Amino acid sequence: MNEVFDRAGHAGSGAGDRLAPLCVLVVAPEPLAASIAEEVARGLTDIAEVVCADDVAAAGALAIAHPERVVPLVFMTASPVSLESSDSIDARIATLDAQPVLRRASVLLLTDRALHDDLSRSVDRDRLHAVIRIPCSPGVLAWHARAQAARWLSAHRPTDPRTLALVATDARPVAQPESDLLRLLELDTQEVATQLLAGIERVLGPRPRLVLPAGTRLIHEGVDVDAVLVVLRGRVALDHASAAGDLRLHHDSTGSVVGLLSLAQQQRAFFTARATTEVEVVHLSFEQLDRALSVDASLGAAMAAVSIRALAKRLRRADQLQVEKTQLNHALERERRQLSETLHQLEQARLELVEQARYATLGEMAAGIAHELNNPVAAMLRATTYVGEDLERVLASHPQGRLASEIFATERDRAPRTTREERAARRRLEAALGDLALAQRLFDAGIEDPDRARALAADPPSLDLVEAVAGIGSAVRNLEVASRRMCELVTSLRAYSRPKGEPVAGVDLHAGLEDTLRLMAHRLRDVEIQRSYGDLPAIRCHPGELEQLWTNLLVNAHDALGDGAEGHGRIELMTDAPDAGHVRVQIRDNGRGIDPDILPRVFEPRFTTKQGAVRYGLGLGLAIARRIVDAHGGAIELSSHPGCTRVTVTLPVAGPPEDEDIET
Amino acid sequence: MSTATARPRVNLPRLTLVQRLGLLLGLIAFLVPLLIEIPSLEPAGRRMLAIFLLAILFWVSEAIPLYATAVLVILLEVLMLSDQALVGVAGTLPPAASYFAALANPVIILFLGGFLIADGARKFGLDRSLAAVMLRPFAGNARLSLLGLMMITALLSMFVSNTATTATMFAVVIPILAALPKGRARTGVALAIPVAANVGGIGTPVGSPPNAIALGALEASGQGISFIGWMLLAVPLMVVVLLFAWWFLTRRYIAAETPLALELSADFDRSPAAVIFYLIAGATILLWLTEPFHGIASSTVGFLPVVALLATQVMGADDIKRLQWPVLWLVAGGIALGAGIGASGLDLWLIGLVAWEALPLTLLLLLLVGVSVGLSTVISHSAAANLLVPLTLSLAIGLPIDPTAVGVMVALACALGMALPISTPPNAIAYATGEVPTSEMIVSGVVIGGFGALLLALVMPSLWTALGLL
Amino acid sequence: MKLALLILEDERPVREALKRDLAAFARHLRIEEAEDVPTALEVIEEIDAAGDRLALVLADHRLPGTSGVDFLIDLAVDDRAFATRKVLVTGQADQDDTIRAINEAGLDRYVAKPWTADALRELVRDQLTEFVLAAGVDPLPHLAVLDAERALSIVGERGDL
Repeated sequence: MNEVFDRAGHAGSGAGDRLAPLCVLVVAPEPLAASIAEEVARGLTDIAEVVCADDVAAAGALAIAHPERVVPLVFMTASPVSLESSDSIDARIATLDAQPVLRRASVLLLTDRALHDDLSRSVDRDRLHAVIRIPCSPGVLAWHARAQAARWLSAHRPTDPRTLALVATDARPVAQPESDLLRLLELDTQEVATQLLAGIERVLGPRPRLVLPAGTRLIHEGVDVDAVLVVLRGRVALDHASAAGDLRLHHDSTGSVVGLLSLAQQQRAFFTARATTEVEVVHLSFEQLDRALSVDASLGAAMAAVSIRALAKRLRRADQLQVEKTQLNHALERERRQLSETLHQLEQARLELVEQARYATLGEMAAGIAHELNNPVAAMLRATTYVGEDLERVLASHPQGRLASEIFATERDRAPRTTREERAARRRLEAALGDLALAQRLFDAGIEDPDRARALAADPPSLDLVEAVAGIGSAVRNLEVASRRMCELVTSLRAYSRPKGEPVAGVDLHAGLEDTLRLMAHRLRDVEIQRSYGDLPAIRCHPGELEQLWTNLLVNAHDALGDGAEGHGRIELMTDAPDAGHVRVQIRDNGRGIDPDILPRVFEPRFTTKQGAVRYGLGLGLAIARRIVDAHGGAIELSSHPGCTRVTVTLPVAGPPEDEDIET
Repeated sequence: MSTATARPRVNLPRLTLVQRLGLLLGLIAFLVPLLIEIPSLEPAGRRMLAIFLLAILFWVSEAIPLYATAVLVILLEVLMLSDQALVGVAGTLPPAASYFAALANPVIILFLGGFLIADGARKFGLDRSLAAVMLRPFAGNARLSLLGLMMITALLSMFVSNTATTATMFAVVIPILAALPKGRARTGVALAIPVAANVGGIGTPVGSPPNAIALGALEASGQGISFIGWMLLAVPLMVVVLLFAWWFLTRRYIAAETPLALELSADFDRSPAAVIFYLIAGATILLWLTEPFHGIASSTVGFLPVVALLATQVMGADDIKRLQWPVLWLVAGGIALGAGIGASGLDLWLIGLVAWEALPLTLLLLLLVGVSVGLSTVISHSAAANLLVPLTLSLAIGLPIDPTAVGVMVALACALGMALPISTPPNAIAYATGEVPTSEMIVSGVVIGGFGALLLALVMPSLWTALGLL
Repeated sequence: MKLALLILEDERPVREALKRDLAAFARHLRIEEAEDVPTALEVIEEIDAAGDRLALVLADHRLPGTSGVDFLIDLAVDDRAFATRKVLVTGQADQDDTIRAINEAGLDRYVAKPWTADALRELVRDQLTEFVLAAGVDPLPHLAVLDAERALSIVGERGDL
């Protein structure tokens, strides 16, 4: 769409005064130019002056020399000015168009050639208004000149007196069509129909008018059409039955002739015509129409005009329908995309809900187990104490009770040592005793003093006793350690799964972090945990929710350390209070970091860095973390580069906003 | 597995004080006869004396492994006393090949056959199954069961090495031992097996290496004994010592009412290969026992199963590899030593050293048997035989007794040294089970060994003569 | 020369329980403990320096800083641990790690916590025997901690030296 000629912008421009001289250019070599000019001038007497130019360049020069002139028409011969010049007509018209005055003019090509292949650009740019074969009959050029001038003037200079003069001659903007058909086509539909009916009635005599109520079917879809109906009054709708229900193809008003198209094609009706108001129609059978047309040939034009009008109207309607359909399709596509987006979001939301439900179930189960375990664990812890106490009483009555009690107490209360220290102590005993197996045995019984060891080695019954009570001592110690650990776990579990409700005030954030760490101890065993806790005010929050938050973040950090972490993994926990109203927790790991490409998406639900595998705390872990933080009115941020991924959670001391209720 | 794996490290053993001493003294003893003029001893004799002293000290101290001393003896003989000697001496020396030939001595071949049959018996589980079958008649009474156990052990030990017999019997008996109350009964059973294995070993030429060494030495001096001939000489002693041992052990350790249930299930392999093996082994033993009728030498018979088992592929290259080559080399070393002593004239010099004729024969025999039992108590039986057999055979030349009797007596006496865990591998196994305190082993070893030795020195020569076996 | 058994376990009660269940072996077996990998390496060095042989390692799966599996993999190429039997004692069966232990460390056995004393002793006896057979160690001095039947079968092959 280069160089599309824009006519609208030129109306009234250029020589704007009403009586600017009109000048018709004839671009042709002498002497042809003169004869053409003479012919043309004959058609434009009193309207425009005719000026000749040898070639387009000269025409341009003329236009520059006389800027006041208005040039409505340019006649241009096809044959080149000189034999050397091989300019195509496209090129020549382009040259003309270099002048604004000429660009506005209509171009009429005079040619003696039978075939042209050098007009494509001009046609494409709408710069060719007529092609006239020369030589032509006398007066043809004059007629062309006049008709084109009138058309140009009424389009470009509607107020010009010369335009008025031209139009006034015929009382029309353009020359009255001379053919019946074109004349009839200019009438309005009803008029043509009336004329047609009048013509028919002239042949067949008066036709009765039929008055039909609304809803009457005039033509039946799928039935052979053997008559037409001329609608004189009222409205008729054309409906087509389709799989999608009745389709309204068209709604016609007075003046239409119904059934004409089907009649023309001699086939069954494609639609049902139905009166939508009361209608007055004339019924004409195929035979009647045929007779009328055969008797009065002039009726043919009326018939054709009616048909063309009907077709044109219907075609416009069809085009319009096509456009509407396209628009509708666009709208549909848009809605479809919106729908699928919505569906996707719904699915995400559902997954999140499922995960939340899982957490909730886990929480309930944990609470249940914690409750069930609480009593046995408490009993165990007590029982270990009782065993110790009772043993002391039993030993009191033993002949070597003092020794046994002492050994028992030592072994029970033995502080943990590293295996390295223990080995060193054992080596000392081995060196002192010389007998490795005996030293081992004595050492296991808690005897490290060489003298005492030697004494015991010489007294097998005492050694047996010592071994036995030492065994009980360490068993009691291990029992106690184990049950205490279980106790702590149970306590943590209960805190973790505390049913939600109103936010709790006065919560110590560090206690919650420590509870979470304890619960996760089995997963974090191979990770070094560094704590740097600052002074934090007690905050108001949902403690269980926050523990889930810490769990998710720690699991994430741990998994990031999981594979490929060089050396040993380290997780740092840092807390501080950036201002009086907020507390801040940072969790930093030295894992492989998060790929910058996926960093922006880590808080999206179901995103995971582990090949789509949804695992505990993964995939939705960070999404849920963010939801919890959001619900507390806090903020969560994540930054990452290899070797350092940091999650920062900021929470308001005042706790969640009052009206907010987090749903878990 | 990953591409890189750990390599086994060959750790050189740390020598004990005895070993180091033995090494040093051995070298000194080796040098002394070479450097110091010994009257009435030819240079060849001096060289042989040097080798012999070295062998004594190395075998007694185990400064280097027994089989290493054996091959060292052969090498030294080749280098010093053969036609390829580094420094020649006056007179003719035997060809080097004659020393190397000790490794293929007919006695070695006989042993090869015995080993292959023993290995086959284990491979097809024949030893265990036989033990199970033969124990059945003795079930019910603890003391009788023990007698059965000892007889079976001895019988197996006649054809299978004492060590393998003991290992097999312990594998069978350890679960039974575990069912016994801890204490003397366990000790008794655990002692019975090595005693029976050691005593049983004297029954046939292939029963234990000392027999082969004596046999080889006798054959070298042209006084060969047939397989059945050896059995006639040795089995009576074996049976009597065995019965005495049973009597002693049951009286000392096994109360009559001990709940000893020696019931084992026999599971004979009936595969074609096993059947072929049974046939070949049976035929071989039959041919050994019937030598006087067909006259085929026992060593030739011993080679038959080697050929037959390998040709039928009942046994293969792996089985050959598993043969107890160190034992064969040790025996070969003893044979080479004996040959060297004879060839170098050292034997004559040794006879002249002491006026043996002045001593009563009975005392002499007691001394001989006593030294043999004593030495074999503290060193390996085979090593003791290696040292004593050539020596005593030299002495026997000048004694009014058949040298065959002397050679057999020394070999049998070497089997009776079993008072210490280190005396024999069977004793070591029994000790390793943890059921036998060293003190008990000494007591039973001294009593049973002493009884055997007295019997051997005082009764056997007259018995042999009376039976016309010599 | 003694056979040595190494218990690599970071929790003291578990370590003590393992040791106590194996107390019957202590007379004939050198039992060493380590709570982490560096200590374990020291122990191995000591065992080697004393001329003893590391026959069996009972390693926990999870250890501070590293996994028992990594330790076993390193051990597989350690000459001081030639033919050493490797047993994983664990309460948490991580499939990936177990596969790695079997493929790369030549893991021999897997003991799930909690264990039973008899089964553990049976396993240790069995593994020690395997070690003795594979390493060519004279089984007689260690017969008390071995499967006597299998151990004696190689003794029987020696012959009467």
